[in-house]
Amino acid sequence: MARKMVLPGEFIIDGDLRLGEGVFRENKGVYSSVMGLLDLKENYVRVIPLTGRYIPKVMDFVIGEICDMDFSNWYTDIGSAYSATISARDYFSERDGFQEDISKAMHVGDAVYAMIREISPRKRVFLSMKERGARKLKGGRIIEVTPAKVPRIIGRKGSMISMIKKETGCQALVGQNGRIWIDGTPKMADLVVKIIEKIEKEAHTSGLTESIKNMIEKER
Amino acid sequence: MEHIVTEIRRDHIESLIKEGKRADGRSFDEYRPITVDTEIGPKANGSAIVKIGNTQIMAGIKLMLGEPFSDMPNSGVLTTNAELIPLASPTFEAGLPKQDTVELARVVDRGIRESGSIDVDKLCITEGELVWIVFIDIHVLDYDGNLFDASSLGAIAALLSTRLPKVEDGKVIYEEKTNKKLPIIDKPIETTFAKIGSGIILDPALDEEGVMDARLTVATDQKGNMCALQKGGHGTFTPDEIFGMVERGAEKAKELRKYLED
Amino acid sequence: MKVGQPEKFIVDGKRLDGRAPDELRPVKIEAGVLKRADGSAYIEWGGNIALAACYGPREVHPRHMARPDRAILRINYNMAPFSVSDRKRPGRDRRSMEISKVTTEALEPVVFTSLYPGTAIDVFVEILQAAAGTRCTGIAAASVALADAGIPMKDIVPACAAGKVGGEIVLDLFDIEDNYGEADLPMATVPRTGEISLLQMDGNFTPEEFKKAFKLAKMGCEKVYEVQREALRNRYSKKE
Repeated sequence: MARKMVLPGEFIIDGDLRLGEGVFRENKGVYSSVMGLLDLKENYVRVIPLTGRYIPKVMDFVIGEICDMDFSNWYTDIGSAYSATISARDYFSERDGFQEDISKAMHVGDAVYAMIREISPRKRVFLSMKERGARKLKGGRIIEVTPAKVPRIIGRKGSMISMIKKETGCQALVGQNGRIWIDGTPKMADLVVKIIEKIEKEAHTSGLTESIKNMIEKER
Repeated sequence: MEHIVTEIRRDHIESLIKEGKRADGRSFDEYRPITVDTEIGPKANGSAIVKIGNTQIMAGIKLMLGEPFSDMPNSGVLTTNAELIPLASPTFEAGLPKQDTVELARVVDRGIRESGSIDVDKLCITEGELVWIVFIDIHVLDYDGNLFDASSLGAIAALLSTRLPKVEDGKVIYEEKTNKKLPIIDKPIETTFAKIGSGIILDPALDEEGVMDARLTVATDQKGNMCALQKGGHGTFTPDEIFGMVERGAEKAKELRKYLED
Repeated sequence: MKVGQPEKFIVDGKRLDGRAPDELRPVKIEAGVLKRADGSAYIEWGGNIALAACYGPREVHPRHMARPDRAILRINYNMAPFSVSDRKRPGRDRRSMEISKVTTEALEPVVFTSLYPGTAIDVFVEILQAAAGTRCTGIAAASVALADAGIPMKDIVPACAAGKVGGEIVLDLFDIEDNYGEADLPMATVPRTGEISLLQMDGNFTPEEFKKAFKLAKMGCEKVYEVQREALRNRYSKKE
């Protein structure tokens, strides 16, 4: 299933297709704007970038690291050019009442798994901790991969990451921003890191799932 | 805004250290893979690119003619400069040298100067009037931890590869290189240790530098004597820790010196 | 005649470095060579050696330079002290500032800056060895670094210079030709559309000579373009 690699400025096709990311139209022609893998369908075309920083999208789950705060907001680094904020309202519920000191809940130096609930017109990102699955992270370790590789690490309908978690017994949360949290026994967590490194290197090749299954077998 | 290291990242590294392990699997006394390439191009009189893991620096030597210092009329002049160029890290800014840059240059310089590595008396052309000025320029290309060791190794490698240009009527003809090398009589090596919790590790990588309490750079000459020391970081060392590092540094220096052999 | 000027620049159809008048010096580019940068490129072009690193899109510092409608593209050209015969003192100088400006303007037309309002896309070009044509070397590397960083662009931008030496129009001047020649014409193009995004000249051309040099430089750009694309393709195929 090896997709064709295209480069910025490369001609793809003439026509009235719907344009996704990584492409642009000039006159009748559609061209690639990034170095990536071509996804050409009958009525739709996009190029999946092979590299690039994380560009925030609403509904993405990301791993953020709290780097600053004031009395009603936590400011979070999510590895993008745009600052990300978690307001107290996006953490506490009505029942919790007025919070005198929000640092009791989370403080600078904490890491979170949160959802992007809104991106303002000036591209400020607002994260919510109230979505199902969002949580403060404790223990474990955080590694970073190129955001472009995240889809391969998650796999179709989550199949890849589910398989990795099941076979190693580790917990893992994958942020769309390329940060991955892993928790498990040292040996298995190390294995998960190695697997993810392998996927990062070989994301665009085929037969990956097989060789990863072999990797896991060897270690067990 | 200073880069904040989250507790998870800090805890992970510190708990590994407690167990005698490191995040990248190295032992406490292990360097990352090292490569040394010399003679990168003809414009510099000597040059080297050193990689320690992902950290990369280029050292270039330029020789110029000039006046000696009045209190040392027979000696050549040595001067070391470093640049943490923005290309090498998202945290480096262009502009006037900052404290880190100046410290790096001065510590690299100290190792070379205090070991008497270059026989500066042999760099005199006319006493009191004309001597060689040796410029050592360190250019950091990729910052992934431990600039001291990479820079000092690069500086020495570049110096060893330096060939003097031709001099005619008191002027340097840069396009013509002679086969004459710089008079180098010692090869000082710098080894840097970082303290994390109660563990002391050699060659801190970027993530380890981010959580270390203190660091010590030890410069050792060929005879195994110390010629420079520099403690850095906001924490402290005990005297025993220091003696330990000095001893380990001298041992490790022997290993590193092998990279200078062609 | 300047001191040291060669008597002839072309003897028996060959230039002083053995090349034909329309021959490019060897160009080699490798993409993705630095760990910290978002995108990077290493280039060797004749005797030139340079590195380019791209960081972005990222926050703008100082804040007041940010634009609400698009990213600002900042390409900074710098020469290492040991890159030239006469050691260059570290720090900015007027020549580097001008080259930084025209390099940025060579690439601005192709970068889709409106996709990243309020941010900066920074590219740093570092000349490690200089041998005539450093600005074209820098532009070629900067383009590859931008593509390597995933910055959306309309095309990859190559650059190349042509000039006049001993009355002859030649491609890609080297040291001696650059020092003692009569004219120098560096150019950067958008190959897909044929547009010119950088053009500078110093020296002396008749209108005829200019046309000839212009065509030659454009042809040189197309050759460099192929090397740039090759470098990016190799990024992902040099597995095993």
